[in-house]
Amino acid sequence: MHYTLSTATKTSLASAPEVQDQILGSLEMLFGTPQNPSYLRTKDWADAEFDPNHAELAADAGGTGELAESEMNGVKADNLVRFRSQLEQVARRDYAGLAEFKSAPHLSDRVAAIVADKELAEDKRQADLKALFENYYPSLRDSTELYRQQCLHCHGVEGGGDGPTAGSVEHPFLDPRPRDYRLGKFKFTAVKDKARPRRQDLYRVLDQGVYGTAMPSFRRFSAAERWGLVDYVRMLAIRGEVEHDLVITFQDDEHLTAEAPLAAFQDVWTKWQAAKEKVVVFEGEVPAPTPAMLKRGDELFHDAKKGNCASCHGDMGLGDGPAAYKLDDQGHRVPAYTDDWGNPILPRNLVQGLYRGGRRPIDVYRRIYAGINGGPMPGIGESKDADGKLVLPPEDMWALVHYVRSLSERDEAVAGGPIHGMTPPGEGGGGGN
Amino acid sequence: MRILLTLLFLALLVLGVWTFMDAHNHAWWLPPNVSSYGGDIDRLFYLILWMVGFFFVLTEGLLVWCVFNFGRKRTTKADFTHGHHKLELVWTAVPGLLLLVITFTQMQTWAKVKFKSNFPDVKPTCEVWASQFDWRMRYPGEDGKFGTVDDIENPFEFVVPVNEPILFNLRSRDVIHSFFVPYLRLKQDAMPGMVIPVWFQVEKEGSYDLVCAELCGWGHYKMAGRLKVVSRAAYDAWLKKSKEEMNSNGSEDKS
Amino acid sequence: MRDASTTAHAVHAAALHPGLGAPGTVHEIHEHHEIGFLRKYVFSTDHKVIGIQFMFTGLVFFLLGGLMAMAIRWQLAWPWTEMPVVGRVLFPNTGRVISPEFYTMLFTMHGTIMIFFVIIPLLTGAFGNFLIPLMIGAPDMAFPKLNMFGYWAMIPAILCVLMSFALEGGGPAAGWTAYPPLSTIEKAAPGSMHGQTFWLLALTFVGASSMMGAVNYVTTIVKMRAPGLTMMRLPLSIWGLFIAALLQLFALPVLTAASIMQVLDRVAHTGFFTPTNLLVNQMTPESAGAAAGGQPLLWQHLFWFYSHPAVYIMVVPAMGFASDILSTHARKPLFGYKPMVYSIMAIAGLGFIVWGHHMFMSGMNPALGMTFMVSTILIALPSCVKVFNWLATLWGSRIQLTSAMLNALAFVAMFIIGGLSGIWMASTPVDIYIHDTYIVVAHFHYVVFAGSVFAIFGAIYHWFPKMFGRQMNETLGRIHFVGSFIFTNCVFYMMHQIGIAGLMRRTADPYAYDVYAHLQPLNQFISISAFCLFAWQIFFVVNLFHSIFWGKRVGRNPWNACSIEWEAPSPPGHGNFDKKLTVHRGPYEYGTPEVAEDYLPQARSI
Repeated sequence: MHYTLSTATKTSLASAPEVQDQILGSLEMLFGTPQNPSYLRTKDWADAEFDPNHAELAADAGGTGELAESEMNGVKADNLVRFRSQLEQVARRDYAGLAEFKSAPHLSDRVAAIVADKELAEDKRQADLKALFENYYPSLRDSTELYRQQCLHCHGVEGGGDGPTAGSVEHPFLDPRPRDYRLGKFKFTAVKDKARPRRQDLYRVLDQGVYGTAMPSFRRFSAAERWGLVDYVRMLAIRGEVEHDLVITFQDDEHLTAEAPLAAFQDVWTKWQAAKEKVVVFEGEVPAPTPAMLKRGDELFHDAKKGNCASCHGDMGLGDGPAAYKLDDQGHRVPAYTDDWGNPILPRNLVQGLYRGGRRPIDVYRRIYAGINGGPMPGIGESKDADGKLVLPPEDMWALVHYVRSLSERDEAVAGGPIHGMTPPGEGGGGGN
Repeated sequence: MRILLTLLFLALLVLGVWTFMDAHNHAWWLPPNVSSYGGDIDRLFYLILWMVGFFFVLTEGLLVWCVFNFGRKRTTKADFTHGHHKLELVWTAVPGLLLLVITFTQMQTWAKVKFKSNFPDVKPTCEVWASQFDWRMRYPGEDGKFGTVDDIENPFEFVVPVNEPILFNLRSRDVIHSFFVPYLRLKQDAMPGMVIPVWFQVEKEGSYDLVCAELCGWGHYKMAGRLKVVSRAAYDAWLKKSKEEMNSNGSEDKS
Repeated sequence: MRDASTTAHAVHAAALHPGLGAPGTVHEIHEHHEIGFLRKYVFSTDHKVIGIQFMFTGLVFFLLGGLMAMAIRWQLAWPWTEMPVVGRVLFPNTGRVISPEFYTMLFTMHGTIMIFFVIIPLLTGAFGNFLIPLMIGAPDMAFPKLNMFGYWAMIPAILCVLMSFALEGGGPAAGWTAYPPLSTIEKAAPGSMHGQTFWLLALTFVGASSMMGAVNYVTTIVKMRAPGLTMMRLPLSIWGLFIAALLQLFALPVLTAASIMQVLDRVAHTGFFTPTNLLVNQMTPESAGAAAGGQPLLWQHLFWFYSHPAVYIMVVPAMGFASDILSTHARKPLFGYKPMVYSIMAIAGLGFIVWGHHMFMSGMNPALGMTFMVSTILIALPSCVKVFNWLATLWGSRIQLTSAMLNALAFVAMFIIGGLSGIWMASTPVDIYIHDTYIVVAHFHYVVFAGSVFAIFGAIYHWFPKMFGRQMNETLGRIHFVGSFIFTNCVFYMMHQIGIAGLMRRTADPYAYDVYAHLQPLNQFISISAFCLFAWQIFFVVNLFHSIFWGKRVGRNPWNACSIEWEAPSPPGHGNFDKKLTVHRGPYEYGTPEVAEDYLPQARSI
């Protein structure tokens, strides 16, 4: 199995196969192979003692320092659970079978190396193993194996959303299609201005899943494994973007210099680093929904100059607004919009109450504020009218948020009503009270 | 051939019994039970195991003997008998009686676990939604009602307090799934279009695998969940924290 | 020429349908006209040819189903590794690893093929056809043309099943049980796009074929027995086939109806099985214009109403063959003829009222769990009686360890295991744990593979001389038996333990769960045994084909058996018997003091 170029690249450069090879070669230099992925550590980075392949290490320890201390603590706490039986074995100095990790080959190698090292004192061996397990953070090599087993069949080898389970382009099976990371666009993030996602955004997707799609929650993996997958997905995305940029460069300049790949890489890398500046946070407490707010939200939802939600999401919020569909050449009703990956897309049916980006009020707030990167949902949180005033000041934003959320209570059948007179016993409670 | 066949059938008999007796040494056996009615189910399992084991040894043993003894080359004819009435009665009545005994010992436990009239008189802790390919637990929010906006949705983890009877409503978003926690000996299919109440009580804190036990599509094998059983105090704290997280203003994401 | 052959046909017809009991004036049945190769061997109305056609069709599909099982076992032993052959051909760019949906298709088609294209055609299609007229002294079936049509109805079934692989989305992937909504909603599984529809059509054709056969068998057995052959003098093979045919007749229509309903749900957007407000792969059925408001449970009831009797269809003829082979090769009468017959009837009768035991966890009213438990536990009783009668048959006998006998003995040994493990599942509260685990897989593989398939092997060794006038090689037969017996138990016995550990069925990768992570070595042992078992069948295949052409020639009755089929030449010609037959006694008069030899055939007068 090896990385190949995307179909778009191959089509664009169909007449220049040697350029394709050049790009493929550069990408391998920059990012490695599926069996052994790693970022190229440029000279500048090496001089600065910075290694992009180690997200878990703090900036002053030579890593990227992108994991907050609380997150690393979470990882360590989770490792104690995940490696409980291994740690018990280490405490007993029973090293049999310790190195067998199906989806973490690099970890297996490291454990095996410590166990087999004849020069090592027993105390040191035990301490080293304990530290290895407690502080475990997957290298890209570990994550690529986990990705291969769990993610590749949908998301594809290069992260193009074209694995076998996705179905072919002509006959797609999964709807929505698995994400194609290579545009560097991710829909459900906490950032605005169509910025790249933060690590935490990608982690959130692995943690919560994307409800209403085939992407499940992957909480069955330890925190370390999930962060490792985040690192690998980031790399696939960056690789995809670099590939795309090189194609554009070639098409503009009609040749690719030897420096072009590295320049593209630096450029994309910087863009990804800028993500953290763009988080959408609300200053202050989230207001609770009141009947007055719901009424105001209703008005804003249907007001074409304000929220303008009903034009796409429909009068009742069913996703069937007048702008949602258009007529094609044969006069059939087809979705009016496509997303940035070229897939036809319909506005969300808000009555179903399945929020892919999270169902907390702040999550819905972020969707409205920043829009959805890669889809047609606009972000109107910072839109200003002709006088320079916010179209939706904060109280109005929250009114809209609460109204939208209240739509899911509207249809009892969708929220889950009974059939045939089978009533659920009792109403909700704290359990046991 | 006679000796070989005798040995083969004897091996089947001996290894058949031995693998069952040795299985728990390799953890090829029932995982430890942590639920209140799991013990009843295990007892019934063992009752049947012993009865079945007895008949296995008896019949296979007879077969081994027949092959060994009557597979010899002999010059005389076989016993010319077409049947024996009394024997037929005995080996119909005795197993029949044993089977009836098995039947009647089962009924109480089944009623205890599945009959609505035996459900604990508590409010449902949560709704468990099975979908392709996820488990989502939906706890009621402050208003105590299901299906409202303040519900807490927890993917993958079903958190419950220990040593308390828990009732939940099992639902499916799309196709048939099945809620199975091996450590609890609990299984119930999640039927789309139906709301199925299920109850259990766990007697030991811990995390227990929740698996899907009805084919639901390509992701059936990865439809994992976790039943997390904690103390009542920890449960209340978790619920409180979840409710607070619902009202987050995003500041935990500030860089 | 036309007139002469029409007359010849009329004479033929008269000879073939002689009325009550009497096998026609056989001396008039001679080759009136030369029928070409096609009419003789391909589109034949001769039950023997049709039986052999079913046999080879069944064996070819056995190979196909077995290959699927090998792929399944590979995945379970070494998940997400490069799969030989399949990986290279179907998944070349993603590491040659099968995809999860491919796995769901594998076990769906493995089950479907084994049940509908192997076991039922071999037991009822091959041996039913071949044995029934011969064992009752009839020249052919009651409806020979219907019989031929019954075989050829399998061809559309085969085409549908093979085509389903090639369609968009691949083969059906909702399990052989095809529970809706997974099977009815297109977007629920890739195989539920078009593959599932073709699967349903295939099942309908198989059903039609089986029903035609069943009508023929029942009519023939009731109406065309030789004089003196009362029902209570029939060999147990015929009883088994007779009861199985009755089961087919009464149960299949329900499956056919259910299949048609599911086809309508899929194609005409009806909503028999589709509840409201589903959300599958971002689609709701209502938004696709489909009706809803149906009940998935309805399919389960209808499906299992057939499929439970189906499992008895798959075992009862095998029990019959085993009884005959045991008695013949042990040179001793079958112990307890009447109890044996009544047991088969009880199994079949009770078999109609136990279907709910497949649905204990399904969400149906728990009170039904009690009622179905009673009938299901009771159904163990007639099988238990049969096992004791087989053992009593062997007691005091003179066992001849021929290949046929070895397989029949193994049938008894392993049917015991399959039957006993069923009691766990019959007990409803224990089934809470056991349902959909590997205990179920162990149980049904023991009864159907270790049971029925071994009985089929035995039946092939036993009746091969009658089919082809030659004998199969005994040495190869023994080698085949010993290896198959050992490997079969290596494969399926430990599945009991895997199920007791709680591993659920149809799982492409069990080891991601803590509770199952330690089961991989055991699964690897099973998989390697399975590969050996599959490879070992080469002895049988070589033996079969070699013996057809170059086996030792034998006469009419190489086993010195008592039932009527051995009165005919080996192989029998058109019309089967070359003399008039009258039956004087039962089929198991072995070791009788009445004559010097150790057997007294049914149709011999003394």
